[in-house]
Amino acid sequence: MTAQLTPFHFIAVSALLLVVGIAGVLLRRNLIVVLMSIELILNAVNINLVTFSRIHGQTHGQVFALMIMAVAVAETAVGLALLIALYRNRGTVLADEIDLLKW
Amino acid sequence: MVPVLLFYFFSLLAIGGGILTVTRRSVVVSGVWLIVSLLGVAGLFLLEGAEFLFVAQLILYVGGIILLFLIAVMLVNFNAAVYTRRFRNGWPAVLSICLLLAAELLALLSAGRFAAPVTPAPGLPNADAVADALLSKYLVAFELASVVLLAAVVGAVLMGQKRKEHAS
Amino acid sequence: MTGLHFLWLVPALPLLGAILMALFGRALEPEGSAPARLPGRLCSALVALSFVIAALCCLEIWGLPGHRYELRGSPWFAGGEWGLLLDPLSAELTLLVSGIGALVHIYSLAYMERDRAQYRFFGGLNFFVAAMQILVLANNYLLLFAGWEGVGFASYLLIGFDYQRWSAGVAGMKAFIINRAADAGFLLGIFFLILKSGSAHFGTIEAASRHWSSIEITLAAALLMVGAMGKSAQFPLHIWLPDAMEGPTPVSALIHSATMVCAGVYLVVRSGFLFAYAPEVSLAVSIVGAITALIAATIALVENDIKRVLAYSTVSQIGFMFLALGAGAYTAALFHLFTHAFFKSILFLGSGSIIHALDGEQNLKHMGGLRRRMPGTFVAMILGSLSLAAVPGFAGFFSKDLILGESLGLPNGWLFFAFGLLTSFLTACYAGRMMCLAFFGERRKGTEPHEAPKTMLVPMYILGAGCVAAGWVPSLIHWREWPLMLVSATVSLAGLDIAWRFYIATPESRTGWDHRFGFLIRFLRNRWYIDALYEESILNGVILRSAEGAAMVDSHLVDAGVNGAAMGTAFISRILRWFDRWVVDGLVRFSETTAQVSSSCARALQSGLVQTYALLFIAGLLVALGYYLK
Repeated sequence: MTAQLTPFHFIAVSALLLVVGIAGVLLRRNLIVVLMSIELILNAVNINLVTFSRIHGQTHGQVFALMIMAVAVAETAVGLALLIALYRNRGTVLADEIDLLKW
Repeated sequence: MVPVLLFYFFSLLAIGGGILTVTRRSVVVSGVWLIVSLLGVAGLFLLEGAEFLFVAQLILYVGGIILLFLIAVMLVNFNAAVYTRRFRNGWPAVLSICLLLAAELLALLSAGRFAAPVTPAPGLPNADAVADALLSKYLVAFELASVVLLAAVVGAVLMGQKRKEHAS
Repeated sequence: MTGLHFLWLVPALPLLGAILMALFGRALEPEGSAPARLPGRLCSALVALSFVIAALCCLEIWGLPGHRYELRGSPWFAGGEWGLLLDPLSAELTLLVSGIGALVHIYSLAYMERDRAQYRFFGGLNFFVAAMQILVLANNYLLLFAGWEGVGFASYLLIGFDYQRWSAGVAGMKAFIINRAADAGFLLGIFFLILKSGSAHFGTIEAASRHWSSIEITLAAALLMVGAMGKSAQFPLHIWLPDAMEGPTPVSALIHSATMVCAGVYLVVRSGFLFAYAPEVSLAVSIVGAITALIAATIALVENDIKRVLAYSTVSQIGFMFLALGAGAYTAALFHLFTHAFFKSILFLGSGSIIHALDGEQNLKHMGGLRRRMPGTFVAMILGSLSLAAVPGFAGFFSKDLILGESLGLPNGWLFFAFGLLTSFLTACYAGRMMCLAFFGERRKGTEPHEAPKTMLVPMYILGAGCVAAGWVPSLIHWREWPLMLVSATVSLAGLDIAWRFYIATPESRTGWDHRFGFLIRFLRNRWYIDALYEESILNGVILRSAEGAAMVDSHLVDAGVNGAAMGTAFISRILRWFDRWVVDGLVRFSETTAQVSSSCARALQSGLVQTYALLFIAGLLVALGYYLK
């Protein structure tokens, strides 16, 4: 354990969070949890951006992160609406039961 | 000393919460752990001196997105999902790929120039700085973001509608 | 241009007949139609013509020095040649063969008129005449042997003429096989002669033999004797002749009484230059002849089949001839051959007439009283049997008498004389018995007989004349002492008298015989058990064993070979199947599996599941980052 916090710490956290989110996207059958995992990914990206912004001593990264948050909100809303519509049509929210993209 | 401890605490919240989110059987519990994870991320923002993002995270994510999730969960029949398999077929392989990815990333990143600690230059308070940037340099992005949100609202409403019966 | 240039026609004409019958005979007799007349008439004409030519040739040689004519022809092989020899010996026989042959042909026109296979019969008969002519007219041993085998083959064909009868086929085989066995000895003798003299020609060998040692001459003579014994049915090789009676009666008349069976006698006379200097072999010939004559006569006494009686009679009479041959009395033997040809053939033809009239009945015990119904046949047969019994005045008397006289010249001649006299007595007995049973007394059973047609009677009358006349002519040249003639005359008449007494005058005197002489009668009825002995030792012993051996070879060797081949093929096919299954199919399955695996991999890429696609992204990212790792 170092006494000083270096950017690498934050970047490492970001990387780990990213991988956790990817694992969730790839592994879970339930689509809602998949969407949650996507949130995790986006958060990891945000941490990264903020860290880089601090390294450069500017706020550009933070603004970028804010934009990402806004897009994330939009995406979550639309995604959940899609999910509900899908549920209405197919009766399931499990990813491997929805394979219409085969053809 | 204290920042280091805090950092570990918040990163534990973030990553631990993330792991727990992904692995819980019940979707609602997953959502709760997501909250924990997002709180951890928020703390990390704070540690990095991004106070505005800290607040934005709390309001947007925890207050908005999680809410959406929980409402959606209740609209979908989540009970049935509790009794089926959680993970997809072949999850060990996928897990190992992810672990490989983690190792790879860490290895790559540790080779980078991130070792030196950073001391932020004194200047405006963070919120002011962000507001300055947002409204001058990134004004178009700011506006576009609101357009995107609008589009999302419209789209979500459209998709949420019940289908009308076709005439023929 | 003398007639002798046509001598070759004598065997050639009947041979032509045989060939024509072989090639075209079948076509002449389609199924369902009446028996054809052409085969019989054509073949008879050919033989008659050959007789005329032979007669002319014989007249010709009378004017030649040495009374002989020889035609040296082109060489054949191993010292033989295509040559003809006509001297008094072959003249006598060629006239006999073609003359009696022609008469038998004419007789057969009527006898065989209802048979379906005319061409086969007359063709075989013609072939026989041709082969016999080759035999007697040959000037070397090899050509003689060719004729020898030819008559054996013709005999086989004609004995087994009714091939659908099992017994006929067996009898034919028996004749041929025994002949063949004897011919082994004959061939060895011929080989020996050719080896020692370099040629098979009679004259050459005779000249060479003057320089041989007595052992060599004895060996050659002994081997030739073996062949003669087989062909002339002498003990112990006589068993085929009685069974040869399975053939049609004309066949028996021509082949087995007058001609073929005399081939052995002819051979010995022709080889006289050897036998004259081999006294042991000559003695053996006489012994064999005497024994045969007596044994055969005893068997003939108890036979009930009329043809079998005559068969054994033939064997017995040829035994007489052999007896004379052994004593060096070649003239006597040939004289008896000549007279025997006449009376034996007339007896056979007569019996054929009886059989023909009685629709196939051959058992003497079923005949009787035929004298009134068949007078022509009766006359013919009386002439024949009186001649057979050697009653004075008939041909047989003179010839047999001559033999008996000559037999005294042998060492221990009185023994041979006694044998001969006893056999004469028995001959008269069985001849009388046969006549009494057939022609006298009351009709025993069966259908009403009719007299034979002219075509059958005329040849018999001609032969009958010969039975009487044939004796006087030579006898006027060689007259015998009267004591001997008296003795043999007494014996013959006594034999006939006994037969008459026991069978016609007082038949009841025979009633106790089965009881008293039962053993003897059974012994004779079973032909001295000679046939049984042959069957037991050779047939069952050798032939059966060799048949079993052959069967074993067949099943273990041949079948094993076949099975082995089958197993080999099965083995190879198993290997091929393995190959096919693992290699060929393996390749197919490999390509199939490859296609399947690759396609399932490819299919997995298109699963339709978003998370799969995402996984692929991440995997790609992994790979891409790996690039930076180094």
